[in-house]
Amino acid sequence: MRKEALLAGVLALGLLGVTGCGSGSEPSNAGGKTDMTWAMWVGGTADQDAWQKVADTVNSKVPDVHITLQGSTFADYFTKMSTQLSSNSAPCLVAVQSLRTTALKDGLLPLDDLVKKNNVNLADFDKSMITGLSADGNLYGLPYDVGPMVMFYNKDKFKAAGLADPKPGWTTEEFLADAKKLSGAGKYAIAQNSADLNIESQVLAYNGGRVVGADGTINASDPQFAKGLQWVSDLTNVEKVAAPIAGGDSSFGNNEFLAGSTAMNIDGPWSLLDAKAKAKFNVGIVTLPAGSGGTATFSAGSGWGISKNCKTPDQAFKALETMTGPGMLGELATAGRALSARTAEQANWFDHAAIPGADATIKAASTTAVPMPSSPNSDQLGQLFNQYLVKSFNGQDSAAGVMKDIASQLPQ
Amino acid sequence: MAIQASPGLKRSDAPDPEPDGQKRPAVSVRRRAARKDSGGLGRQTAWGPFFALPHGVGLALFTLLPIGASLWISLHNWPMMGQQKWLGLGNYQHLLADPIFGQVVLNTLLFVVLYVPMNLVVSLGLAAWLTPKIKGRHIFRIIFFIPAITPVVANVVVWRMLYQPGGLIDGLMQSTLGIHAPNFLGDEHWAMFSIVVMSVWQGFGYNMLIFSSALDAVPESLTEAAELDGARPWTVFYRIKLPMISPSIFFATMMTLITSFQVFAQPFIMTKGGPGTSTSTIVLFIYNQGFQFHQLGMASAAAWVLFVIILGITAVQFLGQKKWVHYDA
Repeated sequence: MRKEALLAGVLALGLLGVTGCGSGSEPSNAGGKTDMTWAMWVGGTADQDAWQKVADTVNSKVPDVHITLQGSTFADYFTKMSTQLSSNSAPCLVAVQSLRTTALKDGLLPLDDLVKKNNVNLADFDKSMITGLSADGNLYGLPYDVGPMVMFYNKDKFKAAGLADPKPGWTTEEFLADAKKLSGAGKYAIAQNSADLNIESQVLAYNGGRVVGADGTINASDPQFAKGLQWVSDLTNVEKVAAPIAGGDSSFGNNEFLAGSTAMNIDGPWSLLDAKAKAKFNVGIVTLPAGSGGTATFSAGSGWGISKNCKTPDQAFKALETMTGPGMLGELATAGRALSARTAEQANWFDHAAIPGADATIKAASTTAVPMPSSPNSDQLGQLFNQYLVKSFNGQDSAAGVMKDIASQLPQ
Repeated sequence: MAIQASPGLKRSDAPDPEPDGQKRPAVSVRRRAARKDSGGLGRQTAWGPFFALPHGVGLALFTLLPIGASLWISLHNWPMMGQQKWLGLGNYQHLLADPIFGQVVLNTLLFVVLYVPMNLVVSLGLAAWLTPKIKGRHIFRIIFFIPAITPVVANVVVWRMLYQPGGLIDGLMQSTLGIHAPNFLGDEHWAMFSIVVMSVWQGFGYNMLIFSSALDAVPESLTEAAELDGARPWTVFYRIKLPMISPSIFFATMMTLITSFQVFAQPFIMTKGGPGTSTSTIVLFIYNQGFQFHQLGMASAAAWVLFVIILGITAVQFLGQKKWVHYDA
């Protein structure tokens, strides 16, 4: 009887143990190597292969670290990451986008001491990205790519419509004239897109209107931004050159472009590899149509940081150094995946992107690009854009009316 | 029952049930057996908590603790990252005064009011049609049930392709009538209705199966007797079958009502709650507050408001069932 009771007690305790140790397995030490997970967004098979190669390189070059890639879609990544960071269950290595640094910084480890200790020369990186991945005077990630938002276009459609390839610096008038020739009979030149980076870049290029100030403060009531948003919305309602959007679907514009339904789409150089792999036409890139203030755009980029709860930050930093080292970023640039955040390796991307004129476009755009500022409420603004901009795009409300509704829901 | 019966066995003067009237050793055997059983019961009682422990731990960790935690969180300003601050009922006061939350509750009620009757009518109608006389009824049942077991995300993505401008419906209307279909998900007047239609398609199969089984269980003798008395098919259905399956209808109504208050995936994927707030539902509001705006306190408070709404409506249904649910049939 006693033995049976003892056995039952041991079993019950065992069960308790099993239920209690579901998390906290990272990092573990197996075979002399510290295992750690690297959380990254993955846009498709080409993307997955590119990132897996980075993981493989770290595993072969860094003697005491083994990293495993954990992919999520870009749309879900930040929701998942902010939850993991806040509950101290984030992997050691996490991807950070420059415009979301402020929103994630409380869960990330400041890297400044590790940078000093390991003699990493930050001057080798694009200055705007070091600024973009910093908040409150601390650095929260080492950047891997940078790039201005540009216009992707379908060269074949332009040719079929009898249009010459657009040149860097083209104006909104030239864009509109071309768009009209590419539209009609149920076809549209471009599709609306409510994603924050897209819409804010488009408005900035049109009239310099900004919803997020350089210091990260959000001013959703900015009249200049509303004016720019109205111009973008009128492309659907008045000019009939932009496809109306169905719902809060930020991938609609990209899908329509890749499917060959529309002729243009606003995106960054980080999507070029994916676009080339998926599109069954020749892809070109050009600067965003310039309005009254001349060519302008936002630049953004991403990097990798270390979560605050990582128990082996020194090993994680070793992995980071390799991931953002000249060799790795040179390879990513050569593969066309990332316009390197290391300025010396950017030439590889221009040489291998295999898009004629890409270098001229990126250089022209980069000259005037300003870093997209980071705000603690960027996720909230992005969600409200998805929810509300469709009303402006589809002509159910004015741009000013929509921005007023958005402003009322943001923290004052 | 076994405990009540055991004293009878202990009575030494109990009349012997054996027809020969002789005292038999079997009685003492029974007594020993009873004593043994009683010892077994004691041991079982001792073991009971151990066997209940895994389930008890699961219940405590995954049900009771989160419920208590969410109530505690709802009383705080609890950002996802950063310092928590005690607010008392502050979050609840904010929610009740927030016009957006008011709109969200109204949207959820609109969804429920449209969805629940449509779901019940379609599922009951198809279940009534699928009588054993219909050839291939099992195949129809499977076909109608497929949407209910397909992942909702896949269904929603397909329906988004049907609804979007240039999608299947728009394309068909252009080629046949020469006009554009409304922008179902992009127009605030159509968006909620479009989500309801998709949800009915997705959800009716489950209730149909319940109703179909309940209708099959109605005794044929009752319907035949009514038919012999000259009752028409509609009267047979309305006066006999419907009351007979009323417990199933009650169950289906209650479950459908509860799940419809919790609608999330459809607006989350199809509209993100837009245009504006026209398809924002309570659970979507909770998700956005928690995971987009990182306000876990506000999200938890909204979850408790939803809980109270569902609890209230379920209680009203239970009270009202006496009038129309017949368990004695």
